Amino acid sequence: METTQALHYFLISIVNIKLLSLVAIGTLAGIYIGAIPGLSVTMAVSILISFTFSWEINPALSLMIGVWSGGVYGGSRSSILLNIPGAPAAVATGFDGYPLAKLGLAGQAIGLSTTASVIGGVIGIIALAFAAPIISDYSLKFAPRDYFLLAIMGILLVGSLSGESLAKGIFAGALGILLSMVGMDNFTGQGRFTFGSVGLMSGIHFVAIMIGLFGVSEALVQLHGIHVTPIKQSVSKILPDWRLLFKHLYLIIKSAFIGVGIGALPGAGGDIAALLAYGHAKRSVKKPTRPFGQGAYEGLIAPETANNACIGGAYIPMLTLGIPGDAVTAVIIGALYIHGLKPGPMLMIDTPHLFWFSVGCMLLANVFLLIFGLTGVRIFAKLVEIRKGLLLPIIIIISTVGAYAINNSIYDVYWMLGFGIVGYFLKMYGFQVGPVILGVILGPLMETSYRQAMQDQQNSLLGFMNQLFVNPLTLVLTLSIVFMVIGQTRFWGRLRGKLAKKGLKTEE
Amino acid sequence: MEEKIAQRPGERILMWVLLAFSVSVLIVALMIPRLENLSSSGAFPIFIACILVASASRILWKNRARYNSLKLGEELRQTRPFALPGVVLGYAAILVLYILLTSPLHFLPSSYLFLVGSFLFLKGATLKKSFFIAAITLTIIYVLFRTIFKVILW
Repeated sequence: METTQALHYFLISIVNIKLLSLVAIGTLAGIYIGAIPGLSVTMAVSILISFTFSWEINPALSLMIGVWSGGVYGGSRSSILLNIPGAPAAVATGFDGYPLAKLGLAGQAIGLSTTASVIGGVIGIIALAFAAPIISDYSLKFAPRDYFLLAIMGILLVGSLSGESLAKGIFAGALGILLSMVGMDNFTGQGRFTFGSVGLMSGIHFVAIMIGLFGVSEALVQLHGIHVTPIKQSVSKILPDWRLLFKHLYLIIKSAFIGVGIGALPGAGGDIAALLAYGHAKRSVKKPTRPFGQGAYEGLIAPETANNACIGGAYIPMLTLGIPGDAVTAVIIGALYIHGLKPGPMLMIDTPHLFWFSVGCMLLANVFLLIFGLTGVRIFAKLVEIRKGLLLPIIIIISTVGAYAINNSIYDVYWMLGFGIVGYFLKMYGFQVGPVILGVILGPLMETSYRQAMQDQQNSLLGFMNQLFVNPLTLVLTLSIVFMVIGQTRFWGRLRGKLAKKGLKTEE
Repeated sequence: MEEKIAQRPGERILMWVLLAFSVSVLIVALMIPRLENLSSSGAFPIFIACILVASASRILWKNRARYNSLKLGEELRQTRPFALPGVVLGYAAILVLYILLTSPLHFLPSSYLFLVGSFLFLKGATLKKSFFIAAITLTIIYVLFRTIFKVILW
């Protein structure tokens, strides 16, 4: 693609007033959705898909990218003010953000987190613009078996990093894959898990599953703390101290690279990136402004930069390989599928405009993030005070409309309710619902790749296993999966313990 | 990693239910016809069902000490306040009722009743305010989704 053409697509969202407004509205809405405890960006994007799928792809993407960017940032606000992270990516923000608010520096903390988020976001976008075309070219060399392995890796990573146990992560991922298989087999047209029902032949729509798992189940979980009133801190001026920001520029850049790297890893999202950046800041900053955990600016800047840089990073495997980085990217992939697009290496070749358009929207969302992030603090203070008793029923109504809108069918609403209740129990007992969604999205890719790879080997299991070691890329993927599984076993724990003991003895 | 997790009453019961579900999935997968080779329709479902069975068994086995620390009767008694407290049970009942009534009563009346009932049940607002907020909310939702998102509300 020529540079001028790429630039043209990049600028579309900026020069088209309708698209520009949608990005602005999405970012503004995302900030508040992310900030209000009980609402999450994943929930918002899942519901939005059902409403926007009759739209053209450009307006739909503009709105969703805005909500996503705003939502990741918005989570930090409630983390700072209420010590309740609005999103998992904002967990680390509260470690030092809330102590800062208690010191009467909430405004300063919000100002710093806003600018750090924007700088992180922009670095993430630059990384995306440079890395994605290169990876996309390389990923054309991927064989079906590599996609099969990548999909397994994505589910395993989400399962192992986001939950309390790998086994629970694997169960959740497998459950998602199972759900994706309900209906007609794409290869043979045969019904699977349909129990003779014609209605099930077209499968269960993944948006109904998403809304149930992220919307309804979350609303039910939120009922547990419904009468708890959070202690709010007062906010005054929220313009950041530019000297402070400049002083920490090196930390910001380092944290942004951590965010991009983690985001680009299939399966790891903003929460992991923020925690790692926080850990890095804690280790590398020798003289923090205050001790970490007691209001260190460094402890606020690092996770906030990383979680927003992660957005650009997460787009890399999503667009180039079709592998989502986390639950939100899984939902965005779902949106692309709904619009008839197939994320993967061919997406960059067939529809390069979409890539550059997304990059433009993301950059624009960051500009709006800066504008909306540093203004409207009074409205914000009112909105986060909304009682859950008012908020949760409204979430249910919007979820119901969203589920119905998929096919104008009440059956999708029933599915949503069913998955909402199942999701509630899974969450209550330590299962993550992210891997379920990843399984639903990646299931068809996994099965197709597996069957193609198996057919290539004339259905020989030995031949298939042999293929897992034939070229360097496949070998790296295979070994990564093997180590990920072994790394979670008791044997590995014991071995590490023994090695650590030996190391200590040698040092003595 | 998972050994230091606090006891969650009812987890063992859920895990047995999930294991039973996984075994039935495996049986259904085995019944998918034309299982003649490793790339046929049934092969991948069997593989996934085996993973479900194996991971559910693994969770039960690995946490057996934690699960067994609570007697079944005691666990059943503690499950309700942990996973199904009154507010969750009550609200789930309202929710199920709403979803069941939404088709015969249509969207606006059923949603209005649901919102008012929910606001009152969750103590989100007083009776008067509930009627008012529900009306305003539904008007906004209706206008927004009908005009901007072009959703046909039933």
